Amino acid sequence: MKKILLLIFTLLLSYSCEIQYDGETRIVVQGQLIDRNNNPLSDKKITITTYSDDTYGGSDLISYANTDAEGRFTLVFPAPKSEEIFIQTSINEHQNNGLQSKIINALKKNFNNYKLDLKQVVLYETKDISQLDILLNKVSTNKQITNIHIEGLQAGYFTDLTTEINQNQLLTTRFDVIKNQTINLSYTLVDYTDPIKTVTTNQKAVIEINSENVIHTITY
Amino acid sequence: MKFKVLFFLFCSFFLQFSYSQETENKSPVKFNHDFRINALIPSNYGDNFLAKANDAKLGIGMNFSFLRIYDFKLGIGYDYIPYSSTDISMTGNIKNADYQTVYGDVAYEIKITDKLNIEPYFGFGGLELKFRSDARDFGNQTGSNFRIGFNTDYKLAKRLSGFIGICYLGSKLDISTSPEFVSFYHNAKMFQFNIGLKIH
Repeated sequence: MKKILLLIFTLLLSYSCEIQYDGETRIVVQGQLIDRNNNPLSDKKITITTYSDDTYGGSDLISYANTDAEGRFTLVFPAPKSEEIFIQTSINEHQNNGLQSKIINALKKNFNNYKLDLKQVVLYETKDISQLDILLNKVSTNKQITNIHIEGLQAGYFTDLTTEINQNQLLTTRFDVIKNQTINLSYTLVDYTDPIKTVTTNQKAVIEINSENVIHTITY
Repeated sequence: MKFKVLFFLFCSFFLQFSYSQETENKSPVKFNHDFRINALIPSNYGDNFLAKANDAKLGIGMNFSFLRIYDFKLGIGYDYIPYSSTDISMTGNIKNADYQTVYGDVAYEIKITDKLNIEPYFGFGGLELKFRSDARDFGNQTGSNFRIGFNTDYKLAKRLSGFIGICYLGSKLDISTSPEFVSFYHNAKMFQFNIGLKIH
């Protein structure tokens, strides 16, 4: 009796872990891969994985294909029934072809009329990618840095379409940037010295990226 | 849902007439009992999901003609056709699709010789296309279909005939997708080549 109950429990658990799909709804992920010189990247692997954020949630490799001669890809697959299932597009992952990989995370709400159009996705050569670290050197007790932002060519390994910008409470201080360029850094400095009036100022800096990793220190 | 409602309606129709026995030989309405079972060779064509992204395998069909009105016969049938995926970019990473349909049809018997008959027919039905990889279920599409074709029966014994036939089957499936793909997933067209036995 106990064995039968255990078997039934295991079957129910495995069923509940599986992602359910709607065969009458098909969603589309499309785009084009290019290099930094706008040349199409053909025969590069694109995979679509669905996964649940639950502790015992399942995942599926729901679709895959290679880009065509013009670097284009179009993948059509059944939509997950749940609105909370993540749809992850992995580009050129684990390929060892000298080009970077990219991951784009989405939910069904990010699809417009059943389609997620990634448009042109630029892949840089891994040898052209460097790291910029922003080091926050806090010497005062009444000041805070918020909203660090850089303008320039970035590798963009991971893009999360599912979160709103204002939901991101964590400061990003490490950036994967392209070598041999000038980066414009901007950040917000909040001064709480005057208890009555908080002073907020926008700060800027210019950072030269050469061939090595760069550390830029902000002292405040 | 359409699939189950249609099946229920035809069962009810069949039960109603199964109790109305003919009282006089002159009655044009007679209980009929032709049962066909056949292998089904599908040939999908056109710019649609089943033709372009799948490969059809050998199917099986059954048909029971239960009522005869003059030389017209009313019947119900069931077809099953398995498909395997050939284009993952259009099917998803799903190995198989199973096409199942329950339909009603009207046939007309034309006697050519003592042993040879031709039966043209047409019919309507509900269908379900189930997507699966091994034991894993990836949902299903439902829809309706229309068929027109004919069978040629050759009498082998008193109550047994062999037959071959050809049929056009046009299907419409429910789909919600990006507009440029609606027609691709909504339509299916095939010719079916049937070969089997009829018990009468």
